[in-house]
Amino acid sequence: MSRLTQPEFMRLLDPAALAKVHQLDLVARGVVEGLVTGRHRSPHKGMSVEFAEHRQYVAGDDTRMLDWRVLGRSDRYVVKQFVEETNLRATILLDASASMDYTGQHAAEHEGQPLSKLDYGRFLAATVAHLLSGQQDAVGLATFGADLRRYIPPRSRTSHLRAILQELAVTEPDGPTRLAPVLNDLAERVGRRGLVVLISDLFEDTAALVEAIHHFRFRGHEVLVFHVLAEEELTFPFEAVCRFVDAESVDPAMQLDPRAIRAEYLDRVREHVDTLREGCGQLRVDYVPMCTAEPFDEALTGYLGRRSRR
Amino acid sequence: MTFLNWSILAGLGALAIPLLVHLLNRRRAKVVRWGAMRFLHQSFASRNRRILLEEMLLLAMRCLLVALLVLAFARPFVPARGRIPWPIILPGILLAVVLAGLAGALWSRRLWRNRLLAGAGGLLTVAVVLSVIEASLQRRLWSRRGGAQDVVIVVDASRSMQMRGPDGTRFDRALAEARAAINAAEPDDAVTVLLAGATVEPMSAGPTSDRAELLRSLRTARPMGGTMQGLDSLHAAVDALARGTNVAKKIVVITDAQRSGWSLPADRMDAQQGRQDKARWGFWASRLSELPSRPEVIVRTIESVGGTTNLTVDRIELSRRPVGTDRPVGIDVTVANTGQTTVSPEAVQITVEGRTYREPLAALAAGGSQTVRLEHRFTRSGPAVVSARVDFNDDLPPDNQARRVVTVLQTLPVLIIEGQGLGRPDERPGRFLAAALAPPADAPDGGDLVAPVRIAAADVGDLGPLDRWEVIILADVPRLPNAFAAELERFVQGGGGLWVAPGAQAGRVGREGSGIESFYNEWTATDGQPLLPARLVARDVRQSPARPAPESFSHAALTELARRGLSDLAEMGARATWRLEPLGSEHGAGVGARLTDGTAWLVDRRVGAGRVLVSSFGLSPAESDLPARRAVVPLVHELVYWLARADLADWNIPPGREVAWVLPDEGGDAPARRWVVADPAGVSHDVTAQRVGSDLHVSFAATQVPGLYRLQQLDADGHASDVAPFVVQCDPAEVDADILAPGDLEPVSGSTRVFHARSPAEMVAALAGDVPGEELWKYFAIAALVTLLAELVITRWIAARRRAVSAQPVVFPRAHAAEAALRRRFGRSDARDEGAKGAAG
Repeated sequence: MSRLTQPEFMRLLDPAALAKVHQLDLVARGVVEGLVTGRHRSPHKGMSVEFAEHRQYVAGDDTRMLDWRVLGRSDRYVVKQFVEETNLRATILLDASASMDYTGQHAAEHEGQPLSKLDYGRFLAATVAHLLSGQQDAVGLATFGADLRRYIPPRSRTSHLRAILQELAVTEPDGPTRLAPVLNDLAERVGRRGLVVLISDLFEDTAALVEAIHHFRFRGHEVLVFHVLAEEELTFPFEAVCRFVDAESVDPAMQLDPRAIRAEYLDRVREHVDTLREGCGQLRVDYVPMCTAEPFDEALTGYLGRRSRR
Repeated sequence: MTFLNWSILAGLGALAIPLLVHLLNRRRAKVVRWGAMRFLHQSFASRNRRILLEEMLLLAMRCLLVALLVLAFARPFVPARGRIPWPIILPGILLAVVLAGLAGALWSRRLWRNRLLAGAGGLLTVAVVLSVIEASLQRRLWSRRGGAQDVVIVVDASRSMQMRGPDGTRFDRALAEARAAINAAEPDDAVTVLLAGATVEPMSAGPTSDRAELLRSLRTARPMGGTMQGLDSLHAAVDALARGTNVAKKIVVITDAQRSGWSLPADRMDAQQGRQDKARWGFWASRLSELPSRPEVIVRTIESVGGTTNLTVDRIELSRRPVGTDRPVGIDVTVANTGQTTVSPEAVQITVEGRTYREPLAALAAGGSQTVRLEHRFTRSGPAVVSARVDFNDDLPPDNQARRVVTVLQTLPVLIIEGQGLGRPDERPGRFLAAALAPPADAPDGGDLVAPVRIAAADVGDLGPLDRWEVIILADVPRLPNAFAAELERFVQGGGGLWVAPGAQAGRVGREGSGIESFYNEWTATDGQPLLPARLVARDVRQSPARPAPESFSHAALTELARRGLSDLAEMGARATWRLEPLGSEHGAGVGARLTDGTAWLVDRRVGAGRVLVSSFGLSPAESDLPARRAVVPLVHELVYWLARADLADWNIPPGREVAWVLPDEGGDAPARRWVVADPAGVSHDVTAQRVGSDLHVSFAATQVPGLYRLQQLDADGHASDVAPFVVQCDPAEVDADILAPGDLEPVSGSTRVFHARSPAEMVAALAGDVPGEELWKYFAIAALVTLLAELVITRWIAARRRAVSAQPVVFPRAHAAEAALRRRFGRSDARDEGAKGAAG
C-alpha cells in the first residue's frame, strides 16, 4: 500500500538494503570540518568528553575551563582543552556519462530489473546519502557527464536527502566521460574538508584521473572511489563476431571476433585497474572495485564492514 | 593444360560461397553498445595485423578448397606435348582463387578489395583463355587428317625383354600393348607388326587391315634374344611403310629402351665409328623423305617394375693362351648380380669336355660379382666348348648360362734359327733355347705343347714355306739373306710371331763413329717402316752385370713371372747388352721390361696380324747367366705363347660379325657335300662356300642371335656332323639396363616427329588421333582433401590458440567472497594455533 503511494525517487531507498546498512557507520577516517557537533573528528578543539591537552590561561579564556586541580597543586593557571567532534560534510560524485548506461547479461537485479552501471551507482549514492544523513552528517551530490550537470551542496537537514534522491532519480545517462576536468572543477567548489565519494566506471586516462583525485586530497578531503564495472567489461565473455558500438559516440564502432583479442583486452583492463588501485593506494584513497553482478547492498555492506574493522 | 569438362568450370562461381558466408557472418554480428571502447581499440591496434592475417589465410584456404573441387570435376588434363606450359595456367588459376579469398578478408578496405578482385578476375580469364587455346592447338596437332594411315608396330624381342616382373615378362607386356595399339587402329588402317631382336622379323606378309589375323600371329610371337638393333628395326619399319598406300604414317616402337643396339653416334668413343653411325642414321633419314609423308615415331618404353633379381654368367676367361693338352689351364667364370636384390646362388656348374664341375658361390649383393677358377687339363686338341651355368630362378633366365669356345692346340711349332757364334757349339744360344722349350724327360702324357726345331742361319734357304711355324726365334743371327728376310716379314704380317735375340755380332760400330751399323736397323717392312720395334744403338759391356727390374715389367707375358715372386728372374745378370732405342708409340712399339740401369730389355710391336719382339741380349752364356736360371723355362714359354697368340683365331665373336673358315677341299660334287651352320635354336642355315686353290673358304654372316653355333658337314644321307663350334656372345650392356632417355634418340627426332608415350593410354591416344596426356583430377582431389584437412587444422589451431592465450579474466573481489575467505583464513589459523598448542602440550 505504501509502495503505491511512495514517490518515485523513494524507490532508490531499498528497505532491505537500508536494513543491512543502518547498523553500520560511515565514519571519516581523517579530520573533517563540520558545523555542528557530531561523531567525526574536528580540527578545532572544543567541548567534548575526550581530553586533548593543557594550555596556559590567557586573559579572556572562560574561567570554567580552568583546571582547578592543577591550580591547587602547582599554583599555575592552565586551561583544559578537549577534542571537538563535529559532523561530516560528504559530497557524492556520480558519473552519469553514457558509458554508465551499460547493463550486460550478468548484472544484479532489483525488483526484477537488471541494473545498469548508472542504476547501480544511483542505488549506491542513495544508500550512502541515507546512511550519512542518518548520522546527522551533511550530504551533497554532484552529477556529471561531460560537464558538471548538477551540484547540490552538502546540507545536514533531513529534507535535503529528499532533494538528493529526487536528483538521483531524474539523472539520465548522457555524453562522454571527461572525469578529470569535472573532478578538478568540483575540487575547487567543494569547500571545507570533508568526504568525497566518487561513483564511476572510471573510463578515463588513469594518470589524469589520479591527478584529479590528488587534487581532492590536496584540499584535505577524504576520498572514496567506487569503481563500478559490469561483468562483461571485466571478463569479456563474447564468443561470436560482435559489433561494438561506443555508447558515448566518441570512438568508431568495431566489428570483430572478440576471441581474437580477448587476452589483449583483459590485459588492458587489468592494467587499468591495477594502475588505479596503486594510484589510490599511494594517495591513501579507498579504492572499492564493484561489479554490477554483485548486489549493491552486499558490496556496500562488505566495504563498510571492512572499513569499520580497520 | 586444358580441361575435359569445360562446363564444370562455371562452378568456379562457387567461390562466392565462402566469401558470402564470411560477409554474412559479419553482417549478422551482435551489436554491443558499451563504453569500454578505449580498451578494445588499444587491443585491436596490437592484434590487428595477426587477426587480418588469420582471416586472409582461412578465406584463401576455403576458396582454394572450393576451387580445387571444381577443377577436379572439370577433369584437368596435361597434354603430353603441351604447347602452353601448365606451370603458367595452373598457378594462374590458383593465384586468382587466392586473390579472391584475400579480397573477402579485406572486404571493408574498398581499394584493396577492388584491386584484388580485378586481379583475380584478370588472372582467371587469362588462364581459361590459354586453356581454350591449348585445347584447340592440341586438337589440331593430333587429329587424324586424311583418313586411314599406315602403322608399323615394332615390338622389342631382345633378351632383356624376357625379364620377368609381377605381371609377366616385359615381352608379354609389350605384346599386350601391341594388341591395344592394333585394336586402337581404325578399320582402314594398314598395320604391320615387326619383332625386333638381334634380327627383325615381320609378323605378317605385309601391311594388313585384318586385325584378327594380326592378333592371331601375335599369339605365336616369342622373344628372339640378342640385342634389339634399333636402326635396323627402323629401316625395316620404313620398308614396311613404303609398301603401304596411305599418306599418313606412324611407327610405334614398344621397347624396354636398352641403349645398346641403337648405334647412337653420341655413345661412340671412337670418332670414326661415330661418323659412320651418323652416316647410317643420315641414310635412314634420307629414306624418310621418299615416303609420301614423314612418319611420326611413337616410342613406348616398358618400364622396369620393382626390384629385379638377376644373375648373369658374365665372362668365361682362360688363365693363359694358347691352350694345349700339356698342362691344366685355369678357367675363370665370373658371375655377376645385375639385379637390385642380394641373391645366394649355390654353385656354378662348369661343363667342359663332357665333365661337369660344381664350384660353390657365395651370396652376391646387388651390383656385385664373383669369379671362380676351375683348373682343367684338356684331353683332346681341337675346339672345345666351355659352358657355365648358374641354376637360379631369377627374373631373366637366358643369361644364366654362357659358353666359350676354346681352341686346344696339339702342338705349337717353334723354329729357332741360330747364328754360328764364336763360342763352343754347346754354348750356342739356340741350344739353350731348344733345351728350355723342349719337353722335359718326365713330361706327362701328351708331351709338351711347344715343339722346337733348330736350324742354322746358313740353312734357311732349305726351309720351304714358313706357314707351318707359329713362332720363329732369331738367336744370335748377325744377318739374313734379303729374300728370306722378306719371307719372314710376310710370315709376321700373316700373323706369325718373331723374336729377335741379337748376339754380339748383330752390329758393329760404323766408320767415323757414325753409330751402329746393323742388318736389323736396316730391315724395313713393305710400308717403309722398320720391322723391329727398336733400333740397336750401342753395345754395352759391363763390369758388374745389369739385372732385370721387376717393377718395370709391363709385358703381358711377364705378369705371371713377376706375380709369383718365386722366380729367380730378378737375380739374373747381363754383362753385354744392346742398347735399344724403341720406335715410339706411334708405331705401336712398347717397352715391356727394363734392366736395373734403365735400359730397355724387351720391346715389342704389332706388325700386320703378327708380333715382333726384340730382347736386348741373346741367350748366350757369354752375355748373361739367364740360361743358368730356373726362370728361363717359364720365361721363354710365356714369350713364345704370347707371340703365338696373335695368330690364334677367336671363335667367340660379337653379334653380327662374319665368321670364316678355311677348310681342306675334299673335292667331289658340291651338292653331295654341304656345309651348314646350326644356330642356337638348332635351325640349319646355309653358308657361303668358295673354292680358292686347294682350299674351301666358308663364311657365315647371320650371327646376330647370341648363343652356340656349330658348323656342320652333311653327308650324302643328310646326316650332320659337327666340324667347328663358335659362340656369338651377348652384348653385356643388354642386361645392364642402361636405359635410353627421351632426349637420346636425337638421330630420330632430328629427322621426324618423335613422341615418347608415358603410358599405354598415351600411346593408343597418339595412334588413334586423340590427344595423349595425363588427367590430373586425382591430384586435385587429393589436394582438395589436403586443403580441407589443413583448413580444419588451422581453424582448430587458431581457436585453440585463442583459448590458450586467454588470460584470466579480471575479477573484482566480492564482499561476501572476501569475508568467507577471511573467515576461512582465520579459522585455519585458529586450528593451526590450537594444533600447535596441542603439540606443545
